[in-house]
Amino acid sequence: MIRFYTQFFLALSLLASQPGAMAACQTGQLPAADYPRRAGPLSEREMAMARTAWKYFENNTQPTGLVNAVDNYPSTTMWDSASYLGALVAAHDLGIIEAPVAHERLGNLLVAFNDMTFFRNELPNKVYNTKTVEQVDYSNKPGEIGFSALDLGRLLVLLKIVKERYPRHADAVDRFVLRWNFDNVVDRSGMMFGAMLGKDKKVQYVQEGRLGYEEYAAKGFQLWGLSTDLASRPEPYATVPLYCVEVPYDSRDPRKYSQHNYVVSESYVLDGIEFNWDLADDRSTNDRVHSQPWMKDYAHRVYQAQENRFNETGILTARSEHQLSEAPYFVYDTVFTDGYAWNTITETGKHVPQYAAVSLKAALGMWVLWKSDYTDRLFLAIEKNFEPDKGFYEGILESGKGPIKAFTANNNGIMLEALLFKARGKLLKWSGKTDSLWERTVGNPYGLQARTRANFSPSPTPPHGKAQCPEAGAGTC
Amino acid sequence: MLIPRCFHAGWQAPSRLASLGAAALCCSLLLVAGCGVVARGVEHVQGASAHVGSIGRYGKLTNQELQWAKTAWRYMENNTNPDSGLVNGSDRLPILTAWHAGDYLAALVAAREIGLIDERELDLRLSRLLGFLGSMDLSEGKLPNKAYNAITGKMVNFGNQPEDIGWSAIDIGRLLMWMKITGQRYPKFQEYFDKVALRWNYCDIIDNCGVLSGMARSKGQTSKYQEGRLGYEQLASAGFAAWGFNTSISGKTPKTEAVNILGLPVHYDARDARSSGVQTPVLTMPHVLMGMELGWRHPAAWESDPHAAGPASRQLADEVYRVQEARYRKERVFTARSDYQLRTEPYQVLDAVFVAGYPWNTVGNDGKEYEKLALVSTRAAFGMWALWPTDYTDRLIEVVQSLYDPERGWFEGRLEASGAPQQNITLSTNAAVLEALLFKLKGQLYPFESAPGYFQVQLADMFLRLNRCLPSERPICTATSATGRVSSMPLPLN
Repeated sequence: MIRFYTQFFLALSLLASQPGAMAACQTGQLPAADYPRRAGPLSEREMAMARTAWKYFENNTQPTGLVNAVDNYPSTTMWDSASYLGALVAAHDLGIIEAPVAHERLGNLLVAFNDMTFFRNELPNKVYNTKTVEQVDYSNKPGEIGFSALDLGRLLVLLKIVKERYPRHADAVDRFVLRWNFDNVVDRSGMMFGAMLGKDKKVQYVQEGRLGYEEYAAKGFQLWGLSTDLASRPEPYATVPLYCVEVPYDSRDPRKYSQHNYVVSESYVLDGIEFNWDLADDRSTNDRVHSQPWMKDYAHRVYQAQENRFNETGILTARSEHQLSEAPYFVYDTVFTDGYAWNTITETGKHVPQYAAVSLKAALGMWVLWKSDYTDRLFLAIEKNFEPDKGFYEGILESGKGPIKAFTANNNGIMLEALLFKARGKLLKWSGKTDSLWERTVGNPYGLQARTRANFSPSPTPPHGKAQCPEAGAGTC
Repeated sequence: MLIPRCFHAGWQAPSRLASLGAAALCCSLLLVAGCGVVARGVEHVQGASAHVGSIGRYGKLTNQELQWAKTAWRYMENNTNPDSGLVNGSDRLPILTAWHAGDYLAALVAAREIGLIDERELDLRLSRLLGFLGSMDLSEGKLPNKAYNAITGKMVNFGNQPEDIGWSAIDIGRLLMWMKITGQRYPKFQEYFDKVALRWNYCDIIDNCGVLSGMARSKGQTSKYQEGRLGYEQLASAGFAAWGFNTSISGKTPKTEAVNILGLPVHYDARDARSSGVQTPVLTMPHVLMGMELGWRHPAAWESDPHAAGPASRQLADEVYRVQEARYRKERVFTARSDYQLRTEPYQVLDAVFVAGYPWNTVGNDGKEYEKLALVSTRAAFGMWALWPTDYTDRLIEVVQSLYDPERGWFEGRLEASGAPQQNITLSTNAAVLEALLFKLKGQLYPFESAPGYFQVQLADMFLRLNRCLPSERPICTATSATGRVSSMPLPLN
């Protein structure tokens, strides 16, 4: 890549009479790599934001303990439940709710988790009815439909965060995870699989996860002792130059695998906020050192491409998957996916550029991870986009048609997590305890519960500590 | 005339050198692969000095190459309609377009200069074609229709039924280029080509700054649309520039996006196919034709400085070549891709280096994938062979060199999926083979110096007002870099 740009500069003089051809790019380190994270106590404005975001959860918690993923619609996924856990941890730690409230909410949720039936008795189903804790499909009709490795991975991350922070709930968390059957979700090579039902109602296990989300979700499984060798590798990837930044994307062909290879802020933001771009089991508390350098570097690239797009076009850019208040209700609003830069598509791949938006969770995540003039602008743009009695809007449309008036657990939850990160640093705080129910059970070779599990590693040390940069020779990575 | 520029070498087509001494110097300094070609002998150096533009392969044709040319010419012999003098656009099918008329001119010039036909045959064939061009029915009475019947010379639709269906600026651009080249190379015909060009009305096909427009016409309704994307747009605009039209916009590289394919950068037109419905494929042929005809120098650009180094168009062509060679080296897949026609769905195949978001993608005009239609294109292989004298193009020619019917001409190519021949036989492919061989013999085909003729005299007559938006009848272009993106600030990169 460096070679390309060297040649490119040689050629620049030839291009002098062709100003339209290509923008001039600078070589060297990304500015994003020099932006510090935001740290310190929350200002009154920031606290007000946190309270607004929490409003969503006050409104949408069901008597079962589960929280609706979308405002007023009694359905949720394990991903959205994880966002609720993040919100809960943040609301408590930031002093928005008192300890007894936090414990009660946590207790109720864990009761629901421990009561719920699983898809084929294996793992939590993709969707549950929040009023009844029944397994449902996407239209909230009873019935099991499969499981998502990415959703489960994120839930495992937040369960670990909760377990380490709330020792009194550790047993309940462990009892829940001990019910999980990991045989089909991670294979011997450490690749993750989701489950779905074919037309004949037979279960199909399909590799799940693309660059960014895949490695982030794999960390959840790692935290619970599974080896995720292949899933944790950034390969296979390629890069695409966007506004002078080589942005990495998953090179598995979406046309062949019917899985979109979207590049968005969210996965890198979550990895930054929850893990500080560290390896899963890194217990160092030094925020300045990132023990997973490639993840940090890729995050910088995804950030920088968006800042550069703003600088070039004046379009505020903070992209993620997000909800809509009308059909098609959900879009992948990306930096790059399925062959196109700044592509906004539906689940089926339909191009819907009219739904491109500044995602509030992405914007606030970028704001807290990169202290820059650009994220100051993002902050100002999103700060007032809420309804006091409902929470923050999902996003602000690029088209100028105003906010997306949808309210979700994921958006408000990640916003709370971002604010907590400013106040306290990475969300995964190790308690130092090592003799929980989980450890005792998994480590016990005796009794009828004992299993030899191929991909449970004795010590959950992932093998990928080595820096892997998109370009050889990028010394900063 | 020939200035050693070996510092370009290594990653683009090596410039050839005027003397063995300079060659040896450059070779020893830079160890450039292509320089070895020069060392083959004094005979070749003499061939080089007669080879205009000092790009690519050069020298007398070998017996085998002559045989290749004869095979291609066989197509013209078979497909010339005696009454009209027109040549079928594909074997035995009597439809031709303005693009095909340009192809036929290229084939004629090549056949004469390679020595396949004598002066009289050239004269007869050219005279017949000029007779058609000078009197052909015009779409809307203005410009050549998108298609003509090759037997009757009447305007037809693509179903070969009489109809005025509008025009293509890309096709007409190619015809203009070859009318200019042929007139310059054969001055006794220049006057008549000039008269053809003066017959047309340019008001709706090109604007004051060179933006090209096609016209669709159906049941009397017409609709005009901007035509051309990076590659063919610049090639066609060169045809207009050769006749003195301002091509400030279409002559420049438009705004591009880049992708990395096998670690190499490839630029493509940034106009979004998803909103415009017009695909922006990266194909070999426009770059090959631009190289052979113009030395990758747009007439508008090098009239001011004929010795200026090749601008972006050469760089773009090298990108397209290099990534195809890299694919062979890394993946062992012979690659020479371009567009081609089919008589069945999807009719137009964009067999691209990059299109619709993906590398090595083969789609129809609607962006739908036709993976199984990927080809090693005969004409792309010959063009790459002529312009890039490398081991890879030597091998590429071996892949296609037997893909012909001795009685009918060259096949379209070889299917990438199976190796089976794609046995369509077309004017464009056979003309491109002849053009590539002519290029090897003579070098750049559009002459550096162009003598003014009847056209210029007419345009200089201040009292003659044809009202056809000829270059002299137009206001000055005031747009500056309307399509180009000029970076407001250097962007950071890693």
